[in-house]
Amino acid sequence: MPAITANKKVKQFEALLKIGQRLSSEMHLDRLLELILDETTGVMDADRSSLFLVDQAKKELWSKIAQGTTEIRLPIGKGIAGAVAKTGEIINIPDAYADKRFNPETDKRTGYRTRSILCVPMKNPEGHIIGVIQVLNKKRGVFDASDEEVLLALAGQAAVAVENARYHESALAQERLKKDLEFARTIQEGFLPASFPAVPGWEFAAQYRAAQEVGGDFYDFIPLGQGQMGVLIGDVSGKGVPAALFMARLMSDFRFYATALSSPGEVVGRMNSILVERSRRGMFVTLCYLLIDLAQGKITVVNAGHLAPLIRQADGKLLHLEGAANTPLGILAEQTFAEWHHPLGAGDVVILMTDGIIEAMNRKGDLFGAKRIHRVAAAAARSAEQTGKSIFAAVSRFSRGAPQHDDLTLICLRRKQTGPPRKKGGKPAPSRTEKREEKVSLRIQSDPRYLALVRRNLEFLLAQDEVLDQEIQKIVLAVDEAAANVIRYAYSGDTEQLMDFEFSLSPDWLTIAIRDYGQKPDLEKIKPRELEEIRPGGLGTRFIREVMDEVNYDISPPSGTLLTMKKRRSLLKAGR
Amino acid sequence: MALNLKVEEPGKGLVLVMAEGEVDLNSSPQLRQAMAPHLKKKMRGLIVDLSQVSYMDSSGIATLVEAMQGCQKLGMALRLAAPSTAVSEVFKMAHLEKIFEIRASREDVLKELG
Repeated sequence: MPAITANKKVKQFEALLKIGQRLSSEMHLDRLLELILDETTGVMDADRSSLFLVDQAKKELWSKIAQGTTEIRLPIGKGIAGAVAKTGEIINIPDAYADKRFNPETDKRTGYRTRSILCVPMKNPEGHIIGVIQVLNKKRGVFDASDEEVLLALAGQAAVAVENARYHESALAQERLKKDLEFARTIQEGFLPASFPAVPGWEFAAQYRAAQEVGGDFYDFIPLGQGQMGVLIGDVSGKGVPAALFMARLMSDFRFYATALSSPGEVVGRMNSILVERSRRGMFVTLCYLLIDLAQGKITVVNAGHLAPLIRQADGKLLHLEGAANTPLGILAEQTFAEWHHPLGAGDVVILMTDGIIEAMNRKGDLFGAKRIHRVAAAAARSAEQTGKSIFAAVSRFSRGAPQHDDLTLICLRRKQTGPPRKKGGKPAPSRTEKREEKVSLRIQSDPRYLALVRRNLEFLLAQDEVLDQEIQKIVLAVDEAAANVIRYAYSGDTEQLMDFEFSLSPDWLTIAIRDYGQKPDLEKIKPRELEEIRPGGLGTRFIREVMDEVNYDISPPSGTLLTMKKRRSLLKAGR
Repeated sequence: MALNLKVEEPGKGLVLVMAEGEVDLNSSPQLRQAMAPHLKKKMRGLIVDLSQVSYMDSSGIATLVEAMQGCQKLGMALRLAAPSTAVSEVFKMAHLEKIFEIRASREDVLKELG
């Protein structure tokens, strides 16, 4: 070998060593690629170089142009670079325009004049081709065999460096993600209750387990003074830090309004308005809020798109409070939220949960489902804590081995047995027949679009107790008619006034009360009309009096009217 | 609850309004608006398909009565086709079942009006 060539070769390999060291210390992929190209051009004494990486998925080569961000993409196999990527063979072209493999298009476009080309594969230590390095226009002469060796060695080092940088980036990304999740979890746990309220005559218990990706479940116990307690459970759509922050803010706002406003429907309505304004990227919230009258054992439920509360009564029967279902929060502005009143008996357990529980999956992809929950709830021991633990344990067993995608939240609360304990061997203490009265109250604006909500809630209430379908239809029509009359006559079509509805089902009566604050009716005018008069406007007060057993217009309050309609329940069941 | 309305022309001079959902104080104006353009000039007939109406109150009835009166003035036929149980019951409760020309199905109406 001529001395000059040998010398050159040694020099080149020395340079390669140094380059190798520089490459291995650059972990940022983009900078690394630039560095490789600079070094290559230098060592090869060429005019310019380019580097293509293999995109296995798309079977393409791609290259970022150093100064710009435009990518070039080539299918593997096409062109010189493509051929090298496919075959792993070196291509050395001393005179581009004399070689059929060369495509002059890029030259035409850029105005460059390609003379010589040397293209080698980048092989990683396992021998896989992860890219291609191409050098153009050797400054003095053409690329020779030793150039090929050097470039191949350089390409090998570059391959190792690129793989390391990629691995590093993915490790960094994972580390960032982990930190985000930890942060989100800290926020979440900071806001959830640390303990359960201790109230004489009541038992409160909760089970909670966050998902791997940190979902948006929340719950709270809100002491309200004056013998009342608020219980909240809910689910923010979305995951990670944004959902956690959203939830934290929501919880503190909710506490504020729960303490400030007396009606649960109003509290939820106010939260809805806030969330509609605040909601970003379509985040919405489902929640269920219970206001408990601790002394009387009554609960007022407002359910915004959440799972209906389940009640395991003292006699073991399961009851779903499906009524008063409203839409989730954060979607529609100016929503009205209906309240459902339910009297709890001694020993009744209320079970609230998020859909992580119902939708918990096992390894086969089956869902835990409502039926299993009912079974476990029905069989569980008396106490709220035991009931909660049983359900939670069942869900855990069921989903063992499968990843937990959603938060699991479960609240159980129990109204303890009241009254004196039984004496051993003696007669049982006389039991008080508890007057169970189911009640729904609803405040709406005097806008016809809320009439459907009123009808739905009434239907739910009536459906609870085997009222015949035909009777339901008549009653709903009567109430609808009365409400429409309020809008038309008491408010003369003004849709921004208030109307209060109360539907209650006592052992003997169905009672419907409609309160308005507008113009009082002329009692003479609302007397029943003759049958022959077909007024386009249809049913009228005659119809209302036909359907209901008692109808009373009370115009004594300072403003507006209280219309009370009653129907005997025994006749409802027999079907009149 | 929403009310969906579709208007078709099943034959020459015939307009069919198909209602789906609840007709109450809130949505009956929509029904009225759907029928109004066809009550301006005499045609062969206006048909209202009530088979998919799950609820109708007195404002819905009033809208139909108004349409009926409009048709009478023009000497035009109005047919109510296949009213759902809910609608039939309301007609009965309002004692108006004999006032409207009700037919069991769309096809019956189309045969009748030819």
